[in-house]
Amino acid sequence: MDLKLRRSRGVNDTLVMPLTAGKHVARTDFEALYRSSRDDVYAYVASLLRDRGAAEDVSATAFERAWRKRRSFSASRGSPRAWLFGIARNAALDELRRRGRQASLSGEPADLDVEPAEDTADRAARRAVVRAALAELEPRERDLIALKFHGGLTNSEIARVLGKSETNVGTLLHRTVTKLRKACL
Amino acid sequence: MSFRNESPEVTRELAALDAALAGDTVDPDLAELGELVLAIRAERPAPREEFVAELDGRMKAGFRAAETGVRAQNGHSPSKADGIAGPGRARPRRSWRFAPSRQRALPLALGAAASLLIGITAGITSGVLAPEGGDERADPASPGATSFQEQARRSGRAQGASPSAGGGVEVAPGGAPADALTAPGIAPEARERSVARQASLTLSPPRGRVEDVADGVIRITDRYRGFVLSSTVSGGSAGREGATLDLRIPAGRLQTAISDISRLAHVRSRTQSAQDVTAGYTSAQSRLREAIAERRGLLRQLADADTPNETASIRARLRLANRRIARARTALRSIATQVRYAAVGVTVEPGRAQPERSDGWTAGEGLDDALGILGTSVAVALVSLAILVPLALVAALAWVGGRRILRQRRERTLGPAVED
Repeated sequence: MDLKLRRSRGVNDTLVMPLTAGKHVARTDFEALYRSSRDDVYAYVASLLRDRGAAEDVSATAFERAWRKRRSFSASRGSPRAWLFGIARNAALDELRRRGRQASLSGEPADLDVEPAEDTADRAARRAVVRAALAELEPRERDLIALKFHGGLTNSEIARVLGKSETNVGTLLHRTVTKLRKACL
Repeated sequence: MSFRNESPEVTRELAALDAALAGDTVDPDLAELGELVLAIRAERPAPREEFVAELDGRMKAGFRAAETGVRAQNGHSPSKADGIAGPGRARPRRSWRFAPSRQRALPLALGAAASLLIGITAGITSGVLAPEGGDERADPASPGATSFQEQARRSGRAQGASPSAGGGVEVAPGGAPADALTAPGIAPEARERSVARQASLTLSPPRGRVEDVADGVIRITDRYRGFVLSSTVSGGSAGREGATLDLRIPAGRLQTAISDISRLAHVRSRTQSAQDVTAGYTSAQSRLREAIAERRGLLRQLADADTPNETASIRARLRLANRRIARARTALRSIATQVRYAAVGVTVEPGRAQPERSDGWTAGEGLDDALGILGTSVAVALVSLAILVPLALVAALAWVGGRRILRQRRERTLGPAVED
């Protein structure tokens, strides 16, 4: 099983130049951002909505909104990834509001969980424990975990998305991970 | 990456978390944390290949093409959302949100604002530039003329009033209304004063209408029981047309007569004056009284005369007395006539400048009009700013408030905030 554990580090560096300065440059930068963030955005949204179809719609909506707002992006708002994930998060929350339910995510995941065939019994049991621990998280805690582990954002990017300080994000993240560690013991 | 957390242990564990996510090794005592990180990471959902291909295509097209949606490929009917399909979408995306961009709407907004500004300015300035009424305009050289006309309209009660020799139509010098004399409540001593009034008008009719205007003046004079003392009317070639009329109009009807005469043509000038002739009248009365008394005495002396010489002397003195009586009566009659009839001089001069009927528009007038329009435009712009700036501030506050409310509603979707 080849898990995608390493997040591309070089992409953020190439995106230091803000999405401005000319239509051609903006489009090129946006395409680079899209390529580097597409799967991450989907993973985050899917973790939040627990619905593959809705996650695809919301992900596409997020990229479309970001495309249309690309000229209004300002470096003062943070990194392009943080900006993009902010749009994705708002789109996902709008979807949840329309459905009239909270992202409690207390139930078992629907069609997102696919057991790899080559998993051993131990690994399958371990995964089940982790899923159960994740299911017991509060919605905001799960949102934080999704941003960090599935979206692949740094703490500073998460702080920008959530509108909190980086220190606060670190504290909340440590607290949530500690809770998961205890639940998985 | 720095963690400005409270304890070094927290900092260390967060660093180990990031290292595990990056695929680096972690400290042995935190191996369990590393495994948990990998396990959580393994739960990361992955997109379907069909969805990825669809989305990549839309990215290449710039999200412009009409989409049927990924879910339509799975048998779900597409919604009316803008390129996003899927069941359960509560509301379609509004097309106006992706309608003409701000760059295209901005010129439209500016054009509409400019049209509105021009329309308002034209509406205001048209009222400013419009000619003032159709009535004759009094000559500025005669400031009392307008009030004179107003007074003439009000002095309807002056009709029929015939001043006696002992009294008169009292008008203060400068053209006070005649109402003061005939109106009740005036002190008796004020009524006993004798005032002679004069007025003069210059009418400026179009060329060829001098005789008509002169005839109209004479008709008005007759209407008010006055008389024409003298008149001269000349017609013919341009530059020699004109008329001069010397009128006597009963003082009590002077105001209305002047008003009627003023309507015959453009009044280029109008003056009025008054003179208190009470002293002269009283003096003439005294002289007459004295002369009559003297004659009475001479007549008694004549009846008692004994000699022809005495008779001749008395008769000579009687002749002198009679002459004095005649002179006194003449003076008295003249003053009474001056008081009873106002002297009105009317001059008719055609072809002079009539501002309200001019068809020309000089460069100076055009410049004045242009400056007036410019000033009005600036005033309209300032007033518009005074209205729009507060409205814009209110709109900005409402927008900020609306976004804050929307953000709070979104956050409430995830339940209560986690305590820090």
